[in-house]
Amino acid sequence: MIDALGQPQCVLIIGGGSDIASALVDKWVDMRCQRVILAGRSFSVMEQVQSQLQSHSSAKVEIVYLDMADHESLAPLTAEVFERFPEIDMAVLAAGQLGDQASDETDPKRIEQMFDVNATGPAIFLTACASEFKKKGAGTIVVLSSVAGEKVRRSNYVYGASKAATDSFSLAMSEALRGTGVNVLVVRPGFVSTKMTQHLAKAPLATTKEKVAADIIDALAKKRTLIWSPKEMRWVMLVYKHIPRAIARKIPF
Amino acid sequence: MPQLANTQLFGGWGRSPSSASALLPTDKDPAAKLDALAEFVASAPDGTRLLARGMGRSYGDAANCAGGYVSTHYDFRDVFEFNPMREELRASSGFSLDEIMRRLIPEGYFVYVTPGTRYVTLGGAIAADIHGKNHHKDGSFISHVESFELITPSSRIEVTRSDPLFWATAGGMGMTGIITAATIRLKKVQTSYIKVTTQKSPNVSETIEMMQRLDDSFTYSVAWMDSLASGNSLGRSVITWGEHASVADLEPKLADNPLSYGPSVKLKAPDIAPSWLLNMASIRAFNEAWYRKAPKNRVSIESIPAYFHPLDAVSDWNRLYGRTGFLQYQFQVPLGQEDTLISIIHRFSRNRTPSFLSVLKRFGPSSSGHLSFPQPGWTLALDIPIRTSGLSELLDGIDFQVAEAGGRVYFAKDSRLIPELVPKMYPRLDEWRDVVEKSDPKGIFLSDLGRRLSLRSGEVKKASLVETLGAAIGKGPNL
Repeated sequence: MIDALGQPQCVLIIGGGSDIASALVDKWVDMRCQRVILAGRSFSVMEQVQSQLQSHSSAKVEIVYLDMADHESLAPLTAEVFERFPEIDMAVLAAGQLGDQASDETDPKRIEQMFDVNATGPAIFLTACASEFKKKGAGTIVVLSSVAGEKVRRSNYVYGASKAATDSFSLAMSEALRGTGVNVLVVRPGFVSTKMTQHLAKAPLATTKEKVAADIIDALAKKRTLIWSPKEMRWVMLVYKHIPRAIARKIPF
Repeated sequence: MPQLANTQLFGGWGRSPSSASALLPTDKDPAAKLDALAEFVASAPDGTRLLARGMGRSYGDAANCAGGYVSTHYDFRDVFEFNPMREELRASSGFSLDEIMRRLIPEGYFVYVTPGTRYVTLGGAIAADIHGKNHHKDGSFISHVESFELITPSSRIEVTRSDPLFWATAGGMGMTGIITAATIRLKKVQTSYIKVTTQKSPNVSETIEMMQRLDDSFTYSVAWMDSLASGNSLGRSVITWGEHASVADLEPKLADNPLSYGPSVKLKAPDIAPSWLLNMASIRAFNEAWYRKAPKNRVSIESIPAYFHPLDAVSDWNRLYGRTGFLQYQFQVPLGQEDTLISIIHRFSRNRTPSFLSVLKRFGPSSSGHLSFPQPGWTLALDIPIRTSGLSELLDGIDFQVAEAGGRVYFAKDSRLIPELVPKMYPRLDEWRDVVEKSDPKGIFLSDLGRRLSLRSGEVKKASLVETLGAAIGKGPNL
């Protein structure tokens, strides 16, 4: 059960290999979290996270197979995970891929795959989690979105549009779930220095996975439903979204 | 687990955490109702959870039952039989102390134990084994209960003081079954007024000393402490001692109608307060003003609501903390652990934890309830906004200090305790588990609190957390 300060006791993470997600669980297992279920496709990455966690905590860490791109099996497998671990009180959606705009925009296969993993899969997974938590009368879902999904930019519009779908989906689902005991927190990190972004130049207001994790923990205590990390990003995005397109074109990204 | 229809959200008085439950279907006919309920409980399919909920005054998740059913206090209001010969009341468990007082004070009878609010039900008072300002004299609520009727999965029985189930239920937070009615003893009073002696104390050592010296001469005793004061003023307090006033104590105007009782709700807090309204500055200013305006030493006559239930005059005052809510941290340390108490007060003060007047009280002997909170010693309760930064770490550290000192945290207030510390704080937990395991083997009556703190299962999952915390605190400058 999640306590008054928003701390979970049993967490399901899809995209368990993600840097932000592992920084988050790292903190949670030092608090109230007694069991972590890492879900994803790559066992080797998840095993690394597992041994990382077990090096400093006696929390139980399980690994299960869930594939965001396998839309047929995603919902029934998610339900199975909830049945196997009935104490799950928090689900974190951290799966996603960044892609490469230059090759994505010319290859329909890659576009399809991007939306499969970043939009359709998440929508199915979130729906499955929401329905399980509704049955339980309680639960929280954390969605790792992105500022790239808040305002889609021309420099990576395939990725941005797929994230925009999930961002909007989650926000509206959050409203639809009010009064059911299920809470949704949408997190929009700015540029985070992680392995997903190591090949890119650092953007202004760049943050770290640890800071994003701390912001998420704070937001859960305060029952927020949407946060930016760092929080200044909110105002930057507000301005950016409202710049006329003719002027925005002159901004180099 | 069965699919529930018409679920709604329930939370505690601190507004956090909350979860959704369905209202228990009830029969309209009072005669058939309890049998139908007993039948429902007996035939509940595996995985069903059910909890009796009173007025939702417990601060955390003690009255929440996520994904299960809750009954409400409206379900149990059929019996109210006052027996003046035996000075006893038999009443359905959904009646509140407020209603009992409204009906019986004019007859010259008062409840033996009232907490800081009269909006608690009879059932809730037993389940939390509540205490009042007279604990050092009269013990907790269960000391004045003759018997109660309990619905468990196997029976609907009258439970008496010789039954282990009686003591598992007192302080058992509703997890032994549904209390439907109880017989309690009442206290005869001449008037509905309290003769109050007020004295200011400039710091915590003096507060402790004064309470130790004077408590035994008064029925009621409590200290309101400014937990933000520091330095030489650390723990400065206003202590009030009370005694039921006799007719001779009253001014002629009041003496004409010595048992008049008509508490009124003067204000209603709106549900629009922003979460930052109660912050460090506003709380500090309030505490300061309140300490300054208190008389140094005075004897006065006060009404029962004014002395016992000052906050009840503002209905829904919990809304003032805004959407994010607040929590109450109430702990207790045994006699002889005054240094621990002072060290904890010091910690709150040094961390500048914003808290309105905190309440300090000296407890007398324990009841025999397995999980009953009071034991001889000191108890301190603080209301703290959830949005206070670093709150989790601060309270985790204090939990540990309390457990080390042989003390405990109060389940009726809790919403975030370290589960691993529960067996240490409540050494009779296993005894309680044995009794409950027999009466409810399927774990139907398991609240969110019970699940969060693993009260029913014996597993301690992370002993290492306790060790790490212990080591961290042992090394720190806080002890």
